[in-house]
Amino acid sequence: MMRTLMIAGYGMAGHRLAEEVLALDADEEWRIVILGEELYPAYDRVCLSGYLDGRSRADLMLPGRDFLQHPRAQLWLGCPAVGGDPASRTVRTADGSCLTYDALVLATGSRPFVPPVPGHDLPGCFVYRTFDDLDAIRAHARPGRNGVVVGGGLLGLEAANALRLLGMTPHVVETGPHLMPAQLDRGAAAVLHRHVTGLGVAVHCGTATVSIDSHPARTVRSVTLSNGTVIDTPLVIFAAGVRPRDDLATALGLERADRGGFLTDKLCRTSAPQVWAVGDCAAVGGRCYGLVAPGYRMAGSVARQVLGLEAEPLEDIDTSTTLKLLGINVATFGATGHQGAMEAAFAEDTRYAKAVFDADTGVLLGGILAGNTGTPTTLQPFIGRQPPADLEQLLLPA
Amino acid sequence: MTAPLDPAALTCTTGAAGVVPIRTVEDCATLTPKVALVLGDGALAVEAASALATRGVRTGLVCTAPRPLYHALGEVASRMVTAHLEDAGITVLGGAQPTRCSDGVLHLADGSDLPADALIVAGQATGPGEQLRLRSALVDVAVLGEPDAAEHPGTRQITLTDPRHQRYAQLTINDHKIIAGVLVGLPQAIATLGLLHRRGQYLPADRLGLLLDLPPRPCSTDTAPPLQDAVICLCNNVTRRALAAAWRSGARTQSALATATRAGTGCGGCGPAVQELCGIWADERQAQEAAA
Amino acid sequence: MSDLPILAAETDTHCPYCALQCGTRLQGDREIGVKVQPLAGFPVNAGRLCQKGWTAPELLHTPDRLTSPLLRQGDQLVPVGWEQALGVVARRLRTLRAQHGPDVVGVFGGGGLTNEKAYLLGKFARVALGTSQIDYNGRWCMSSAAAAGNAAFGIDRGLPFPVTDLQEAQVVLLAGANPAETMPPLMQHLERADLIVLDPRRTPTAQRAALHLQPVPGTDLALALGLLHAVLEDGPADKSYIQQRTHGFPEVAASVGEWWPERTEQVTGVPAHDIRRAARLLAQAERAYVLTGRGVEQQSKGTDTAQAFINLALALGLPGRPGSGYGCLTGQGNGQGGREHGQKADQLAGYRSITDPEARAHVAAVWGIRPQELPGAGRSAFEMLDALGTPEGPRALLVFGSNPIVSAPHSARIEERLAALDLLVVADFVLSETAQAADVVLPVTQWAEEDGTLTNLEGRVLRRRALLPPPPGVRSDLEVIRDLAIRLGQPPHRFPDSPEAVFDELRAASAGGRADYAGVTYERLEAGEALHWPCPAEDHPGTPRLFTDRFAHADGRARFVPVTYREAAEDLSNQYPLYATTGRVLAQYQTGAQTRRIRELNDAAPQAFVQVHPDTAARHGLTDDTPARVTSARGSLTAPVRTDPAMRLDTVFVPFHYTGDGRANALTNPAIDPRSGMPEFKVAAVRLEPAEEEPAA
Repeated sequence: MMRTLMIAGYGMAGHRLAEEVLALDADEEWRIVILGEELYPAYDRVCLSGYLDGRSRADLMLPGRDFLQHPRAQLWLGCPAVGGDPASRTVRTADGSCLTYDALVLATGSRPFVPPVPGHDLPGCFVYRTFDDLDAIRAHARPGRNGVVVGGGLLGLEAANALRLLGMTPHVVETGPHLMPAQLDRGAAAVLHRHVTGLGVAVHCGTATVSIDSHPARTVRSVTLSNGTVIDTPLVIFAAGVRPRDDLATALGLERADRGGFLTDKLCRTSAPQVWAVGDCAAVGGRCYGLVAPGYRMAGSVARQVLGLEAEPLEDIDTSTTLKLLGINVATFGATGHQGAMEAAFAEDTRYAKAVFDADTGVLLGGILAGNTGTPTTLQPFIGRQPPADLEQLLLPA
Repeated sequence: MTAPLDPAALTCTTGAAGVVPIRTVEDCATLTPKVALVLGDGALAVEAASALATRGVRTGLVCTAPRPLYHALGEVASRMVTAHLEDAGITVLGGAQPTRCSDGVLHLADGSDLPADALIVAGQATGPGEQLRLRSALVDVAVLGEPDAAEHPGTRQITLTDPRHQRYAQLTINDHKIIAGVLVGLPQAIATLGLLHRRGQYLPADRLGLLLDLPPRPCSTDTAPPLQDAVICLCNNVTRRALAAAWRSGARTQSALATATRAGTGCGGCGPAVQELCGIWADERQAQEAAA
Repeated sequence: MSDLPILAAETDTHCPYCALQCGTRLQGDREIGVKVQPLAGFPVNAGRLCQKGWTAPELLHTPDRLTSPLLRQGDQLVPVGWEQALGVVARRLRTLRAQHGPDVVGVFGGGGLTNEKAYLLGKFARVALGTSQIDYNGRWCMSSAAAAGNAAFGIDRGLPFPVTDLQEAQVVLLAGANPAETMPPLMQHLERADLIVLDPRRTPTAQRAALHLQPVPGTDLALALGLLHAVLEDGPADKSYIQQRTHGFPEVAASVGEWWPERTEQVTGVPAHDIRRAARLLAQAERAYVLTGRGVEQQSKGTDTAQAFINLALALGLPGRPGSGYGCLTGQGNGQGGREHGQKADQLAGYRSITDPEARAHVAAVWGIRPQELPGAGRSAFEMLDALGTPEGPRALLVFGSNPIVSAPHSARIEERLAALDLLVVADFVLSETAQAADVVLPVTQWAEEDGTLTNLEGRVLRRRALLPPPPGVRSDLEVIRDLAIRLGQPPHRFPDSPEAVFDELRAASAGGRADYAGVTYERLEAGEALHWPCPAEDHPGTPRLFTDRFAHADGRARFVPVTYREAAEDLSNQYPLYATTGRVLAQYQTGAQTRRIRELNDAAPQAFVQVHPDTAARHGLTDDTPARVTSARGSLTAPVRTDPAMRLDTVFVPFHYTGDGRANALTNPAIDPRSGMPEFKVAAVRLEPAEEEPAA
């Protein structure tokens, strides 16, 4: 008897889950029903900027023809889950259908956070998450004019790059003391800063957006910052963070984590039986990750569990990131946030590398890289060990 | 930068507090107060305070700068120096404004009064980038090289921060030579880098190892040499392989192995290693016999 | 003729190599082979032995053993009979002496010769040859420490206490000594102590240390001054000891005023923190020793350096206190006896001064000549070698038990001087490199073929006993000396060739001297008595510990002797930017003339090498095993690189046991210490580069 796996949400983690289940299901016992909100199949959101740089939606799409035509995979696009009852194993969709499942996995992702400043909802203000968002930004772009990006993190720099590709002069506004404050330290951010300003991106750190100012015609005229700067611009992109989409928690009677997201244990299990969560919406052990690699690990673990296979609880979730932004490599590896750790930073004009060590044992814990440095792959094997004698050469190759 | 403290500006009325201006640390060698206060921001003040405290005098160090050696070392390094001095029992008071002393008491602008038998005024300031090797048994501090070295294009800066053990180093390197450095709490690195800098000689590739005085470690690409070739007894050039062969032929104790291979008959230093091997091989044999 | 030793299947004797003179039992004969076992009952080695001692019997059947005298004819050395060989020698000596006077002949002895050979050689030089030109390779052993010891204590005896006393120590400072490699059986006596090891290299001894001080080569004197400053600053020096047992403290205390730890660090590269720590360890120990070795002594300021360490020991109140002291670790098997009994240019038997009228009178009387007939002091070893074949220098050289072509500093100079001689005579048991250059080679006995005595590093007189008779054609050095003396007109009774008879005369000659052997007899030694000199009478037990009541100066007090720092004799430069230091490896001994003939030792240490930090090597285009050329102002050597990440970045190390292209002394600086005559073996300025594939045409 065929059993049903329902996946609510069809982003990167949701798609990976479906692929893994199909790959592991040698006995063909499971069919998969995917309820996606967007009108397109899952796409590579990490490479979203490529959409403005010549890549088409089809190029960025994740499922191949085999998947889309797979007999045991049903794709319901534009038909998100809106409620259900885990006790009776049912889910209700936006178009009114009521479906039953044997296993339910929530993969609803996250939504952009828009700070509630005056003018945040004016025409000319956008978020940066979907193909639709990018189409709208493209339509509104004015080459030669300024464009403001609120948020100097990963996504904000992506958006700044997008504005560059559209011929505008990006201004990035970041409340933290430097760019990418969640991943980088001052030294790495300085290298990044030098690089991006060299490309014509203006950076305003240590200041917040006070208001989006409008023309009488109610379109964006300028952005005022807390340090007094007023930036003349017709376009604002909010890239100030994401919030997990856990609305279904109420409808399904599931527990939420303190700071949002479906609360799960280290096996991604929510508070209801046979209901898991993966990706940005999952608060594994109470914590959301917002990164693709952890989301994929969650998908892999849940796929095994659904099929009744052994799965290890997720420990040591690697929050390292490797990015190429605006032509510069930026990455973290291992863990960089330990209090009281010993740190060794190596800085040159155009590149920076920092290694973090356990203060008592001296073993390598992780590090931060910016510019033409060694890669996390080269350094990963030495985490938890004494640093090799040529660590500096690995961090900053000749 | 704050102007050096002028002893004349400290008006003193009668009292036991001797105001002793010093020019070198030797100037306080003969002082034997029970409680001493040293006034000053620079190296001389820290050296004097260290010398007194090392001799058992209850010592306080009063600075007008936020911390002693603040201008010479910068924020992080001067904080660590303060921590070392405090660990040694010196009371450090930064950002102070001394106004006058009377009857063995130093008065500060904020109203506090500090009693002392001797008030040592070490007014010489130490500027940023000034070469320095602090004379102190309580903390290792060195500043070497050119003050604006970091401005040179093409340099590399290495910054080591170890808040747990209060160790710090910032080195500026050009063409594999050290052109400037600030170091706190790293005695071996200070000695080695001082020499390399003075002689204009090349740094080793393993700068982290030099800073932390780490034992030699393998490179990322090194493979370990075959275990069997390891020489266990240097005095008689006996390899692990040779010991294993003797063990297999029946020499099961340390002294039997000594008779068979001469291991341990020279300096005796391989004794623990040979014992350990006997243990390992005995366990292996037991395990093999149990499995059979 | 002399009495042949009884052919014994077994005999107790001592190892032929270093000053430890480990007690061994030999068994066997030339047909079945000889086996060696260490003696558990001899307290110095207590049953231990290093690889050299274990393999020493192989020397007895080395295939290239010299069994007949050799005479140079053109390029060749041709076997001849003894009569002819000795006849040639005597005739040519007579001719040269007639033409140029007695100082035309030089005698170069060795620190491995027995007391009997050393004594008779000294007598031969002064009486049969009438020459002042006698010295020995022991000049390059402990002469600096001896000069410093004499100045401080009024006497010097290497270790003025038995080695077993070291077991009492809580802290031992080893300055410039590497016993874990050069005297492994000594290490058992140091097991309990915390070791502070002072060495520019991280040797096996340094690896065992509680604290390793790793100075720039040639700066040991500064480090000693810095240690004394730190000791004096740390807490009160042993005031009652200083007041009651010494002179001269205030001047020395003042002289180290400028050597505060951070300044010492800048000169030596040793962290101030470690200097303070070493001082604290020493000052807080109830029982401590300061021991010096060649590393600090073989420098142009070696005597002053040893002096500074003695000053340190005195300030700590160590010499003469039970369980504490200062000592020098003698290197050569009979480095002590060799000098005490007359091989040294300025000494007569009994550690007497050749310029002291009373000493001259005493010894002349024993020798049956008038004091005026005794020559005065001659040149020290290198100085003599340097003068050979020059208008004012000796034109003939007789070499016994030494191989100066390999062991002397500045090899190029030595070879040139030896080639300029009219007559070079070498007595040895194998064709050493120096013998290969000789005009006449005389084959003599080796250790297990002879009887005699040696004096080990504790000043203890030990019996060397023969196991085997020598091969046919081989004679003892005593026989050779006697024969030559007679040919030079000496009455036979003056030159006995029986070891015991020579020793009895030595006893008389040393009686009343500082190194008084008068009470030591073969009989007492056979009975197993442990006799440390001075032993002035046959019922005197000997003196294991010196200085327990008084020092040897007239007033009974030790002297603090102030010394001033100066740098090594040559500076680094752009042309020579690295330091080279030389030293030993465990498996080879001295010039390798013996040990390089033993297969097992050659397997362990087959060839010269240049030990260097891998980064320094890389910077010079070198990696492990690649051939390197090391060049100083005096010459070059070529040897494969051995990288070691524990080496100082600025220093290379070469062992001195090898010859040919790998000869370490091609580099060394003969800058001589003015107080001791010691050359600066331990620091030279060099450059490093890859060796060419082909030798230059």
